[in-house]
Amino acid sequence: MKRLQINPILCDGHGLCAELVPERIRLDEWGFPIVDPAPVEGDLEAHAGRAVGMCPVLALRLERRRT
Amino acid sequence: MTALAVEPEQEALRLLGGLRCGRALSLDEHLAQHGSIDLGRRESLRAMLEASGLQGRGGGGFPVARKVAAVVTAHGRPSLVVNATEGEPLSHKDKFLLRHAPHLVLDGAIALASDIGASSVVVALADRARVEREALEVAVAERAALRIDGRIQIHAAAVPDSFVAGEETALISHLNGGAAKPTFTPPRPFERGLHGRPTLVQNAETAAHVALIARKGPDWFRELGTYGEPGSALFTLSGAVRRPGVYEAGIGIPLQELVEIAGGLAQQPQAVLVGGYFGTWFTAREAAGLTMDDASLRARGGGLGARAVAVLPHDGCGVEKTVRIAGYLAAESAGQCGPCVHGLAAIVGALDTTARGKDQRDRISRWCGQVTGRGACRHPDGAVRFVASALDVFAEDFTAHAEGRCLAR
Amino acid sequence: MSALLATTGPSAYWYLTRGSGVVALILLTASICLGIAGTVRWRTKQLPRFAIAALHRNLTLIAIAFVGFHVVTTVLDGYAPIGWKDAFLPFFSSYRPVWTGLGAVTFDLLLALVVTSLLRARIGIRAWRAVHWLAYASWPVALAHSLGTGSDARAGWLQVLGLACGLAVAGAVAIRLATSRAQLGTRLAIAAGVAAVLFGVGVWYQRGPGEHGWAARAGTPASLIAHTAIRAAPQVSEISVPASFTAQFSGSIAETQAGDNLVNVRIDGTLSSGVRGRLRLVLQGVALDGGGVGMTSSGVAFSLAGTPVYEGHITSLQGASVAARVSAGSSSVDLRLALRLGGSTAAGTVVGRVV
Repeated sequence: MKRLQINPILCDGHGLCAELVPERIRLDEWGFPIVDPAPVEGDLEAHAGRAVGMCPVLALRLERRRT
Repeated sequence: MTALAVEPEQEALRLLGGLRCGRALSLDEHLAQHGSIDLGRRESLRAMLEASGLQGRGGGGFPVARKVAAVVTAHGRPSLVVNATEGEPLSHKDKFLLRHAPHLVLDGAIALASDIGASSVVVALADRARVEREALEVAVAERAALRIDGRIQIHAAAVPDSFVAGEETALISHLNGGAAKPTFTPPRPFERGLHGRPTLVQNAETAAHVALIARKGPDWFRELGTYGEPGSALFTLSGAVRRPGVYEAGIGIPLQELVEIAGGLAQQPQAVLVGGYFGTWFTAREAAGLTMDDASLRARGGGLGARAVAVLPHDGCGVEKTVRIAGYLAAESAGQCGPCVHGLAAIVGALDTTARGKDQRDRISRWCGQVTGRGACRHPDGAVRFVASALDVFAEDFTAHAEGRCLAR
Repeated sequence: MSALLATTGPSAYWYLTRGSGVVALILLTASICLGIAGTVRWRTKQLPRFAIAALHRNLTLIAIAFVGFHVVTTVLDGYAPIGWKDAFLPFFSSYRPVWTGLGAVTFDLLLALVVTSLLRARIGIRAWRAVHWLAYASWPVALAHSLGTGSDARAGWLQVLGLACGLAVAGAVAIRLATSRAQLGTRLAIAAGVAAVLFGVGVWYQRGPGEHGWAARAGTPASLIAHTAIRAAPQVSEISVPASFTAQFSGSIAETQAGDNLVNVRIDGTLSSGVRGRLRLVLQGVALDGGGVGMTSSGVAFSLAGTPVYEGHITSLQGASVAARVSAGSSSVDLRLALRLGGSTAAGTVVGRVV
């Protein structure tokens, strides 16, 4: 089970992640990401991987969780 | 605020037994009061802590035996940090302990240190806790003169006077030379903390309880408190009670009894804040039925926290208190995470606007929902819990303020 | 193949390298502007944040490809003596060492930027950021390199292009400074620094590459200077030089500094009454105390009306008497000059004999 996770200290509200994976990430009114903890599977994995690479501050991770 | 005289008739005097007014117990007085730790005891300290069910007294309530086990199984030689920073403005118990019974705290620290194999103990204090630091250093010198702690060294460390500086990862970050701000990325302190070593961080009061468990055993410890939350604990009472101060009682004591120990109510109460700035408000009537244990408080949407209880008198203004405390919490944000910084600022702004005559409570509720769980630490979560309970308990007051009136005046 | 291309002068490689260099400079300008656009969080409906970021990344990669092509064609072209090492190790080239060296510096910086960016997840954000600041340095270095080495430095179109790119980067940096949250003092200091750099480059350009004679001062080998002066139009009919001839020479002499203790002396003029043609001699050497030059290298270019250009070097130098040997293809000519030098004029007789 892979999930997207944000490091809130590194995150600076750039918002590229929400543009690239709107199925899992949306922005609050201050521009910071709210992450849906639902698993990332299939086609979505490629988009999620791209978002991880594109984050200007590397605050986004795609983690494997047991739960 | 100064701690006042302690009632000698109190049953539950364990940590606060034999205290002298206005000064610390000397090493001799301490040993006369509590005896010394039997170094030839059969049970290991770890087993005793496990059997006693002692939980952290700093507000987290985490079982001490489990924390010790985690540190001991991690790689590397462990370190021990005693957290006496006590950033919560409504809590004074740790400072009280250091001023009056420093040897109790140090006994427990040394006992833990020898058990886990740490060669030194760091006692972390707030920068402005000068009196407490002095008392600590006098006690350390007394012990060093008699070499009772073997080769274990005790150091005091000053920590910035901020609210978040006492958070475990913030404390470790500061002691390692960095900022006194919480961290997010692993590893946790029990794996790699002070100077990269597995670090056991325990509250000062917790260490004091360890000192007594080491002497009197786990069964004695369990004679007070509840089954799930055994032992006694220190409570800080403030506000409309006759004798505000630090008191010891078994966990689970009814709030009314606790207030009696503090001399009873000084005025007709309006509401009670249980758990400090991160706690929850209860109406006076609800408060009358509360028992001071985490389980029952959680069932009512609250929590024990660091056991700071403040009574708001009938002529106090709950709105004003709420705005002030929320403002403080927003200002004390470490400033690292967007949702905390922006969310708390927005909430405080809307609280103030509402207090001044324009109702923005729907916005506040929305923002409260957007902030919880999105920071690196639990600061925004605690602040939001506080605000939400205030809006609930002081609903009529807020409505009045939004219409330009104040019920307290 | 490259040898054949090289002997008769600027080859296809030389044009390719100049062209790719210019394109690389334009792409780097665009890349810096896009990188800054990302930092100031610029976006439009058509270009969301991730598109700006992706464009920045891809344009930089294309720019690197052009720089790589530029390096390869420069080395393969034998016209200027630049080798593979000179692409990475600055300031050892024998062709305009300083300015070619700056090209190597640019290339090294760009490599560092790209490699760290590709490995960003491995090295962590702080290490990546520290290296990425060098991007601001890479552009002015690239510009100085192109103005200093390029043969087109005086060309109008390059002046306009350089100015346009400079303004684009300056504008982007200004926006970056304006939106930065750094102290006002720090920002003003940086702005002043950038303005100083631009002004300095402008002044240097006016006095340097923008002026005649830059090639020599920049360290172009003497033989190449002589060659570029007389690049005849494509030959229509090839007449050969008479077996022997005499003519009057009239022209100018100029002496310029070529760095350290070196001087370039250029004698340039026309032949008349006898045969008609052009002659240019360039010699480089150490300035001697008593006046005169201790010659270390030389270049001679000579042609008569209708003949191909003969190139060679000075074989002996005695005061104002010069002997030279020049060749074109398989034919060679010995030249003997007796000159009268005055101020900036040189005149005298030239005797030539086919060898």
